Amino acid sequence: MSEFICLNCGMIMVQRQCKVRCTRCGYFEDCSDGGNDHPNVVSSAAV
Amino acid sequence: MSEQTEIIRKSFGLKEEIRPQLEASYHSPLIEKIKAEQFQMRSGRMTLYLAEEFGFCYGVDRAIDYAYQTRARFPGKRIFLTNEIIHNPRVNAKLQELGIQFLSGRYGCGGAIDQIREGDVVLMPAFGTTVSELEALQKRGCVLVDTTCGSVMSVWKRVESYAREGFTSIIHGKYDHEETRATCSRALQYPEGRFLVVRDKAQADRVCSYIEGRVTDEEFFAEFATSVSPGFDPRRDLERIGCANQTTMLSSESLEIANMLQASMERRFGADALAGRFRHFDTICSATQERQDAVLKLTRRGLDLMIVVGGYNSSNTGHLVEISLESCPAYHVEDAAGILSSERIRHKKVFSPEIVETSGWLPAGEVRIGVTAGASTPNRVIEEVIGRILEVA
Repeated sequence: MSEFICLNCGMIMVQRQCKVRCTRCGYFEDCSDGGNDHPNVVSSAAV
Repeated sequence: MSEQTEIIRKSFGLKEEIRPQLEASYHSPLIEKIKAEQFQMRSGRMTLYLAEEFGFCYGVDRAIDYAYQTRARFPGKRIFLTNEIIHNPRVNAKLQELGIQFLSGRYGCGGAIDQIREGDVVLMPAFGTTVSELEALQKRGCVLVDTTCGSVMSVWKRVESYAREGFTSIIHGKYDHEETRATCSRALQYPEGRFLVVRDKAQADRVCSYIEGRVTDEEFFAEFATSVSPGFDPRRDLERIGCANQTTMLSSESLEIANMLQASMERRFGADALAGRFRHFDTICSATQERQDAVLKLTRRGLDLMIVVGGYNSSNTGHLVEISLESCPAYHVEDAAGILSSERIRHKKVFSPEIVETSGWLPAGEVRIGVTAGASTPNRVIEEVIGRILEVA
């Protein structure tokens, strides 16, 4: 089984319903997530 | 913008070092005992029932943990918080005692971001910060410690994807709440980024009415002028929409609002066009959902009243009161000082910022009291409230 590591805090994420969720900070990902960028950055593609 | 600014998001590895401080300030042996006894406690004529999920959520727990670890890691440095770390006065006061200064909000020291110097340490709170604030901080050369809740960041991802694809984010939240302001700012990073904040189903219904041509521009702006992105044009910006939410809102209401907007878009544009005009992902915070589900379960036990403990400016605490009031009298108290006597209680009115005193809150004879607390409330505060209730009863 694949192991997912939280992009935000580095903890192991666990699968819960259709998501993988970090048990430490609550960050989650699902099948619509494509990138590997941390969300709390000012996007380089942005204005 | 400096590329060198360090943003720390992981633990400093000082958890064991700070554990005694956290236990002394926030933990409660009484609450642990009640949990171990099937969430019930009997004392004299009182039976207390504790919700099965209550108090600190993972995001809050982590934010506080990081704040204390930051103090331990940088003992000689100036440490700032951009605003309240969470909406609980006890926690914010404790951080002040540690010498952490607040840049803005009710605990603000009158400082500003331009007073931050290289070498200072700045904590970003659990609600996150706006993009402009983050950019300004990154220019100061300080050390940034990011305690933003992961669930909040998961919402940001959605809002950014909507903006990239030219969808307006319809955000169920409170426009002036720190989390929602941070979420809105994420949309504005993109040329096509737009947002509209709706507070509740009634406001969502008015948006639906506009989409379906039953509300004029004037009527729309009379209600939403302060809760839309700059230059918002409802004719253009409500043609393609995506739903998001402040993580602490009533989760059932967030889902209902998404369903209302979806149905409205389908009536306006037709079912075949829906996929290209409407987006919705489940961004409900699991901790918020669990606390709301637990209080609903608790109300089914036939309570005489509910006590909800939490900061008066805590959004999620307010929603626990709303749910409770469907079944019994419910009182939102900030701490034990709200329990004035067996006759009088000081509490926040639901749907209002007003703090009031109510008489006759505690019935005579055998009483069944439910107790729950918002996600930012320390167990120690809950314990003190329970202790005070037993004292006056």
